[in-house]
Amino acid sequence: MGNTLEKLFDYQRFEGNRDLQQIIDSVHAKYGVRELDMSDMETVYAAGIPDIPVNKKSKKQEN
Amino acid sequence: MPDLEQIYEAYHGKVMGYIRARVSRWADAEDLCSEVFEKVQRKLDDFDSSKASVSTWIFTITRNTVIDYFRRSKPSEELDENLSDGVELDEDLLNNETLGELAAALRALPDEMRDIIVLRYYDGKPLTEIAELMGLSYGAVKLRHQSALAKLRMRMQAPVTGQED
Repeated sequence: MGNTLEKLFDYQRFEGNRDLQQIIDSVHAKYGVRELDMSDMETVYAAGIPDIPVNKKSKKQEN
Repeated sequence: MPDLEQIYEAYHGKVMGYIRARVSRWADAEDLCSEVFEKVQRKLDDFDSSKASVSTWIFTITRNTVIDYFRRSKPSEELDENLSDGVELDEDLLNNETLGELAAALRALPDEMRDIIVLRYYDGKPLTEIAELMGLSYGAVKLRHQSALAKLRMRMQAPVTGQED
């Protein structure tokens, strides 16, 4: 589930679903969180991010 | 199948928005955006709409272009092969409807659980930092995190693969 959430939240940055963005914004406002900037993302991407295959389908169940 | 001009009109804003969320230098962001649509143009004939939606396809190209940018920026860093090869997600999940389902599932959670999920998976914060932000113990956050995942799993019934937290 955690991996699914990571992908969906990443996709949210592309798709910008309004309902989901409202939730994110409200959490950020509550805790004074800012969006990731470039220096943060350098650290994230240095650790590696899995690719999403375009032409593969997988419906395996997680453990 | 839409042509390149239609794709550009429909997706330029989303592509640029995604890139700008990650790349603070405007010039770099513009270059990456151009790179994305050059790749789209090159690969358009190979695109198979029966295997992925246009939106998911362009998102994947955009995401991988950003990842490559950071790899180029940090050539001395070695990527973790297990992570980079890692988890596959059914592309059918990557659509606006699923994001709406996630929003509904999050709204159904108790406030603290919802906050933990957003801070952990949207912002990428470790549970220790989330505990500090929320004024809770690490143990309390860990328990609520697990409980939130279980509730979301039941509500969304998402088919996924890969490692668990």
